[in-house]
Formats: sequence, structure tokens, C-alpha cells
Amino acid sequence: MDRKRDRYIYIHFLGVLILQLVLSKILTFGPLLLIALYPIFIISLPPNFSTKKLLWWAFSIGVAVDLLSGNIIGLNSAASLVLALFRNNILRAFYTKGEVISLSFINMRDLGVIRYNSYVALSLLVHHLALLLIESLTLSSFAHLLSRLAVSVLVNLAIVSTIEYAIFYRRSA
Amino acid sequence: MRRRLPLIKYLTTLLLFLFLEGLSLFLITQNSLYQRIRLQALSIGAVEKVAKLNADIRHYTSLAKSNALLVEENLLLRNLLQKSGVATAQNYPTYRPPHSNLSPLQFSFQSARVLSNSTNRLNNFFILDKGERDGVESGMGVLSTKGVVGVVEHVTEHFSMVTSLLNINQSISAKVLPSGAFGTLKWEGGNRRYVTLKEIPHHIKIEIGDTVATSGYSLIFPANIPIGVVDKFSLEGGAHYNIEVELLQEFNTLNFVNIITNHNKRELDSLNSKIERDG
Repeated sequence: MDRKRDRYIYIHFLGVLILQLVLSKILTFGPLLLIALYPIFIISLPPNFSTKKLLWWAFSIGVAVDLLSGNIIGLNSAASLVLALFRNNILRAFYTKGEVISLSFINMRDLGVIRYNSYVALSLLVHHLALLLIESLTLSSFAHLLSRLAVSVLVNLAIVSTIEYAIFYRRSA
Repeated sequence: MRRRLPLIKYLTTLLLFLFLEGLSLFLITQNSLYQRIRLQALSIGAVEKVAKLNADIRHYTSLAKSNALLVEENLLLRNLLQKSGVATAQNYPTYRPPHSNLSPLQFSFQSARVLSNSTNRLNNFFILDKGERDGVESGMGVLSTKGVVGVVEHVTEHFSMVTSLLNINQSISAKVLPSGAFGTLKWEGGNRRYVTLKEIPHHIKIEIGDTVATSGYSLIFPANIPIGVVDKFSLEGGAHYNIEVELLQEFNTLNFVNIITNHNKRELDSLNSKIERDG
């Protein structure tokens, strides 16, 4: 079970990485939109994953994105680490008390459309906020930062939700 | 033990996060000039704030002692002004060298707070909370309530770095009272309570307990600012005295100081350089 799950994690890692690299090349709408889909890899890792494991995986995918996309090396890894640190706390907020937590990957089918989208939106918000703050290292243009944050979270949420619904949710239903 | 386990787990996770986040930030600074400059500015700002907070706490806890010192100094100054017969509110804050033809406003003082201070090295310095913005310049003398403590070395906009008297590269012109014989005073790098006064001619009468003060032959300090008292002395090579001077100021307890401005320094400097050029 564990070996199968590990294999699936590697495939998922590569899949998300390729998706991130391809979409960030295709979708370029200027500085207001930040295409960052790779947080979905951290977001969907099994709920029983410890924060330590999440941190290592977050660092790996962040560095991989930085290296392959030609970004400032360390920028995406720094932001994805912040998301990994809070991932389990965010997830707990979307499970009701006493609910049996599935050991498989977090998906729309198990959580339901609204809960899944809310969970992804909050996670993307944490990640994007960290990324934008580390990128600018100032709060002087706060309005610009807020608009970038809002646009990026909405667009990335729409992409993630569409892919999850079209590929995984509908097929399994 | 069982209760401790979640805490240890939490702490190790936090440490791992800090390590990886630190590594990421390090990588960012290596690859982006903008982020490097911004992070440096943020870290310098944080260090300054911590140093200021530390100094604030230190000064708050020693307020009673500082007050006692200020009262003592006030009493001393009032007595001096009474003796000199010029005790008016108008000229109280300025120092007038006795028997001087220079402008009455040759020297003025401004108080400053010591933010950090080193005393355990051979080259000791301390940082003051006054800088260029307050008119501080390198080469200005610094006094405590008990006497000479150093000379301003470097100045930034808000802060200044002072070469302490406890610095082996710092020497000042000093004289032994009451004779007035002057020589060079320097810390040799040994005991922090003692400095050495050299080049005092052998025919001068010196006694243990005599006051050692500034000579006034430099543009940095006015004359007669106390430094210490003669602790012991010996003849060096049969021609000059080697005098061990016990300092009046304990450098470990330095809190408030006065920075001296010599208003005639530029004029005297240009005169000196002209003499050197012509001579």
C-alpha cells in the first residue's frame, strides 16, 4: 500500500511540475496574474502526512519549479514551505469533528465540491500571500499586492478546480 | 515523558521549517540583487531596533543610579560656577576655558546615550545614539560625568562609533595637576581601571593621588577635564616618569555621555595646516 502510494506521489509530483511549467509558459497576462499551480501537489498529499514530510516535499517541488522555470531560486520553495507548515491546520478546519479521515490523496470526491474548493482557496491564499510578500519584501504598494493576490488566487483556483472536476471527480462519479 | 513528546515533535518541525526557509532565503539572496538589498535593510533595521530596545531596558533599570550621577554632576558644576563668578542661566550650558582669548562659545556639549559598549578587547569601541543628523563629526571628544571616555571615530546618520579610552590605538594629551606638566596618556591593554601617562619630566614633583586631567593642547578636549588620579609612578631611563593613572570612570557602567563640539576647530585646523605648509 505504502509503495503504491509512494509511486503515486512521484507521478503526481512530476505531473504537477509539468503542468506548472507548461501553463506558466502559455498563460502570460502580465504582472497582475501569477500562475502558481504547484501548491496543489502539497494541498492534495494524504491527510495523515506529518508536517515534517510536507515540508520536505514542499521544499522539493518549490526548488524544482524555481530551477526549471528560470525564476529566482528559492522564491517558490520559501512560499511553498509556508503553505506546508499550515497545511494540516487548514485541512483540520474543513473536517467536522469525528469524521473519518481518508488515507488517500485529498480530492474533490471525498471532500465535496464546496468544501474542496474552500480548502484549496484558503491554501492558495496562504501560499500566494507568502510568495508575493517574499517577492516584494515590502508593504509599500499594498493595494497592488492585494489586487495581485485576489486575481491570482481566483484564476489558479479556477484552473485547479476545473482540472480536478473534469479529470478526477467526473471520472470517479 | 509522554507529555513532552508532542512538544519535542512540534519543536523539531519548527526547526526543520526554519532551516529550510533559511536555506530558501539564502538562495534568494544569492540569486537576486533586489531581494539581497531588501533583506539586508530589514535585518539591519531589526538589529538596530533590538539594540535600542536593549539599551532602553538597560537605561530604565539604571535610572536611579543615573539620577544620582546627574545630581552629583549638577552640584559639582554649580560649585564651579559659583567659584568662577559667572553663574548665570545664560552661560551655564557652555564651557569657557580659563584665561582664553578664544570666543566664549568655543566648546559646547550635547548629551548622548550609549547603545552598546565593549571593554574586553584591545580595541574597544562604543556606539552612541547621536549621529550626523545631530551635528556629530568624527574627531569630537566624548566625556562622561566623571571624565574623558573617548573620541568619535565614525559617524552615520543616526549613530556614532566612539574609540574608547580603553583602546590601545587611542592616546590623548594629559597633564598632572597641580604642576601642569603634560605628556601622552594611553591604555596599554592591561587592567581596565588603569592607563599610563608618559613623557613627564623627572624634575616635576608628583604625588600619589594627584589629579590627571586633559592638557587642553588638542582641539578635541578643553583643558582641565579630569581623567584619573596618580596611582603609582616610576622613572623611565632616568629622564621621564612613567605614571600609572587610575581612571575615574568605570567603563562597564557607561550610560550617558556628552559629545564635545569645538566651534573653533575648523579655524584652528586651517591655521595649523598653514603653519605646517609654511614651516
